Amino acid sequence: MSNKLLATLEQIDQDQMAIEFGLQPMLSNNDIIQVIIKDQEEFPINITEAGGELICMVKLFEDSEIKGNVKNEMHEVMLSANLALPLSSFGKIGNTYMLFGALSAGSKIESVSLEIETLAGNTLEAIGLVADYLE
Amino acid sequence: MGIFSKIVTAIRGGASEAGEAIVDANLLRILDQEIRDSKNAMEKARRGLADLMAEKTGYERKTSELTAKMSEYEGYAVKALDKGDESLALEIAEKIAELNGEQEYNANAVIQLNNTIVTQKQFLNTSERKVKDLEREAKMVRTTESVQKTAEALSTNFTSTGSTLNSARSSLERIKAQQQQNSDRLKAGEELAAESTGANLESKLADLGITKNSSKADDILARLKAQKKD
Repeated sequence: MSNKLLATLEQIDQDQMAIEFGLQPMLSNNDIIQVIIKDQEEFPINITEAGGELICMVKLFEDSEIKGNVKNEMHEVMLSANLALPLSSFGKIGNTYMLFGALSAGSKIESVSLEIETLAGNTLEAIGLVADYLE
Repeated sequence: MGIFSKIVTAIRGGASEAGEAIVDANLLRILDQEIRDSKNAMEKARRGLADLMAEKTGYERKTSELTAKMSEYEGYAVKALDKGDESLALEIAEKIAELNGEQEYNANAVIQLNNTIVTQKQFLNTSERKVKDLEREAKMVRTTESVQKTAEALSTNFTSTGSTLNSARSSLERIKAQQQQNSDRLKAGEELAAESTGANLESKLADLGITKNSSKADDILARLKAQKKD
């Protein structure tokens, strides 16, 4: 199944994109394909297929990276920004803040490519937005 | 507790407890089974509905046939009365009464079938919504499980990128610096390219013999030729 996902993602024509990236199944769980973006390797996009959707997630930061007493304010900023970020939303799992987008697993490859490109750009925007709240 | 609440609790619990399933595998199986059963029931109900509607059409046809027959017989009865044949008229009236009974029976059947059809349609609508809800819940569970697995894998994924070692802020700073460096390099490259284009131009001019040096040589040659004549 992961090979199928990898094969799908390999069809993306990177010449048409503003970013360059490599693809690799995650070592600990190869149902997850990591999109490692050139010059942005710290924030790989993690893609999985579940329930008929492709879920694309980027780990932003951990609870422990947030300065003391600014969490609520940061959350307000993130919730407000959620509406403005094209295709991506903030999320949180346990202690980890995420940026994610989801699209139908039956999407055209161009849509997947757009999702990746947008998420890559949004990631830097998102961290830049809350950088002042982080240690 | 509803499935959505369970999911939120599981997500808040986070990757550290990702080993624990949000809902146990049995529940997901039960959910899938319920979806299949509901779909089967709906399929049956749909076929049943089609039969009921066909039956209703049959009764409606019969009803209008009987109505037509009744007015036909009423015409006969009037004619019999016109001819003063009261006993024939009575016989016809009895026939009409019989047709009327039959027609009422059919009309009643239509009403009853209509009620059943309405109920059946409501059942189908309700079932459809129920199936959609169940499917959405199953999808939520599957999506959350996948998302949790990804989060779990990310928190243990030191090897590929080292992203867990650096803070997001310092990573962003590094990336911004790298981007700045790239754009500086690009700019420098453009300048270099411009310069080499200048050098190119000079060599092209030289090829055409219109550079400063070559015109100097021409001048010298002309001067030498002039000297030789003298």
